[in-house]
Amino acid sequence: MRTRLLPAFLCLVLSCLESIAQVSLRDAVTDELLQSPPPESWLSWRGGPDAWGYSPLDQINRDNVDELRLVWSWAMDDTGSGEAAPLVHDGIIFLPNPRGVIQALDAKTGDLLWEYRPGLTAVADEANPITADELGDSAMSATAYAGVGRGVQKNIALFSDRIFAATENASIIALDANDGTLIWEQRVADPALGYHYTAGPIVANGVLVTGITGCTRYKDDVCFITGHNPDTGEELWRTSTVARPGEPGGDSWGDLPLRFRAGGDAWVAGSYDAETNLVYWGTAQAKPWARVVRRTDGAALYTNSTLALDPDTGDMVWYYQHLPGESHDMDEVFENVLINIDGNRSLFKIGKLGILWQINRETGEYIHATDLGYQNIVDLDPDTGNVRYRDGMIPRIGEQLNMCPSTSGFKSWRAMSYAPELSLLYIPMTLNCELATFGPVEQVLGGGGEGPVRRINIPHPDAGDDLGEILAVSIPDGEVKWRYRSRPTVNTATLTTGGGLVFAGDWDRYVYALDAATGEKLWQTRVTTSAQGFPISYAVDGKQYIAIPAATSGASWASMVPRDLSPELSRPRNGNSLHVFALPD
Amino acid sequence: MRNNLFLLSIGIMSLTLSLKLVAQTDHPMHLGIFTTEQANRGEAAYRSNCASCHANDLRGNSNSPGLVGMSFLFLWEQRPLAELFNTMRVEMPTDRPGSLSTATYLDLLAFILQQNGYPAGDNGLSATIGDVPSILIVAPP
Ligand code: HEC
Repeated sequence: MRTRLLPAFLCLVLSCLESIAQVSLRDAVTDELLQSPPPESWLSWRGGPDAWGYSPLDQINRDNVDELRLVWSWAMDDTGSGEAAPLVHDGIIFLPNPRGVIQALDAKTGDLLWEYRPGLTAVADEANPITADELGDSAMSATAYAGVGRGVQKNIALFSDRIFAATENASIIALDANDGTLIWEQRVADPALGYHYTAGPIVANGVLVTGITGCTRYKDDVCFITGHNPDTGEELWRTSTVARPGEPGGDSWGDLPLRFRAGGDAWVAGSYDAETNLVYWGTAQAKPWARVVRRTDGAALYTNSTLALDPDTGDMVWYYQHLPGESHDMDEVFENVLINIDGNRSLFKIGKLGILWQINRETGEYIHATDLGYQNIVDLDPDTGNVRYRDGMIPRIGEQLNMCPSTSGFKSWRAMSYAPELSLLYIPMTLNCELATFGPVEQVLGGGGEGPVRRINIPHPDAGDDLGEILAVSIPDGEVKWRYRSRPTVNTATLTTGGGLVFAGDWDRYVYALDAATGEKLWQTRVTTSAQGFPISYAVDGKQYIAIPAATSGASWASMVPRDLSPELSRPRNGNSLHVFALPD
Repeated sequence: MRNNLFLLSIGIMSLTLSLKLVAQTDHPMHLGIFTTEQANRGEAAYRSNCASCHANDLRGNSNSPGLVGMSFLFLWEQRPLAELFNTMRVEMPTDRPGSLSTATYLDLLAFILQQNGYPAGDNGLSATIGDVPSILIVAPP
């Protein structure tokens, strides 16, 4: 009894000292650090500013990965879809949960260091948090479940000694990274109009850059990306992702007035290249999805494009529109992977159609594209990058189309990663098709939206019983080196490591490591619910860890597609969590 | 091309219009198959269980389809009301399907119908609606 009490007593005396010591960041995160992140850290949502999803750590490698075991796990909020992209700095994991919750955990032990819970956590004087009164009807009740869209929180950013996040109420916040105190909250748009964030900020040349979403419905404004001062939250610039009437590109929407120009949501965080001093950010399709429903068959700039923005001014230095006049919900909004190849400063991107693009990231010029061969909607001219809709494939109201992929896409927010040693990209995909019948919307203020689709999910003719695929594609030639196939949908981003491994996980709760060179599975285990989110790697005190999130919900790819196409599989309906693995001591 | 698109959508609109005209006024959905009390209770249940995805005004958001107006009718016209009820009861809310009481699902259906412009009546919706495949959804009066 005595021996038990003594440490408890000591603990009481020491605990506050100890916790302060634990939480204190040794090094403030500078621009330089973000540009060349130390190998033991994971400072940006995809590891580095170039979004490789790659950790150079090699302690865990092909030879020993089969010894990997669970070190700790952590239950996350079950208040919505988990699509977490954790960050690590100085041995601390910063973990985004649904509904705006953020936690700091000891990355070695899994001990909670602090938690930020909107409306409950301490706020600094002058922080000016949004109140329930202010939100009125657009307040989301505390118990509301964020299955998809508003309330989902993918990534956060770390800069100086602060954590930055973008909220379900269309605001941006700064937290003290040492204790989770709210330092400021900056209103960016009116959530009553549908605006919200699901992607968090990135930091580019000392500016916080964030893309808004929820731009689906008709309103007297459009979607945009903003730059903010990280000290105060002050908005420095705002760049529309939709060309307004009368502005350059404005006629690409025909004569639709501004209020009927919807979409261009910027719902996946971008990348930054310090040498070009450009931020690269994707935009989603125009809304409603189908041309006939949105009543223009124009290109609808700057939807479904990659934008290159000056982080200091927001000026659009170039844009590349991947699918002009897109008409099937085929997003090209996803991660921008920056790789220098054969002297080309390139940007790689893949959208829902499974076309892998290589763009010159200095000029925005097309370099190369590879159609991975699963889609049946467009023909790609590899010389020019132009796409042409195949005959009969442009949707008409009330007429069923047999289209591959489904509106879920072959690719989604689950980011690909890059292995520099092999010059391979690892693309997590879901193979499926859809019998889709597009329907009309009311063209009135407050109406619009994506447009209704009568949807029947069907398997992909080339995929047999498999819904999941990780495709290893060599660049720049686009040659497929190997395919890993699985019955369940692959449901995480991929992570590559210096140990020659690719980590990922599937809807059926498996998380695994593949040999990056061959695709051979070298290790796997099973977690609480579907693997879902962004796996990362980091090191503390010389020991390498792999952290893999598991979560439920996550749009049609993780709900309707598995329900209809792999009905024999099941998973718990809750269980958002983080699982951390390492080699035995 | 743009003209064609317009003509097509005008065509669709007049089609909807003519369906409206031919819709029999003795269709149960036009006579009132739910009570105002059900719809009022349904509104509260909707706010706490459904609005986070389908939006406060039922027009939908992200991947969650709209539950009112032209879009809703496009998805449901000429399909059994029973199927709408059973879809809701079996699959919604997506995070905990089937977790509400049958009475609450009926209230929710009443609220959705009310928001689509169908009239309330003296007789409430009852759970047997799930077993009546013969009532096909028609446009509101
Ligand atoms: C977490 C998000 C979420 C919540 C909460 C939710 N829904 Fe849904 N609902 C969806 C999605 C997504 C679909 C599309 C079909 C699917 O995924 O099965 C849908 C489809 C529907 C449909 C069928 C629409 C169609 O036309 O095909 C109805 C009706 C519906 N929901 C009603 C409700 C009701 C009533 C509630 C509250 C009890 C509710 N939903 C709660 C996400 C949600």
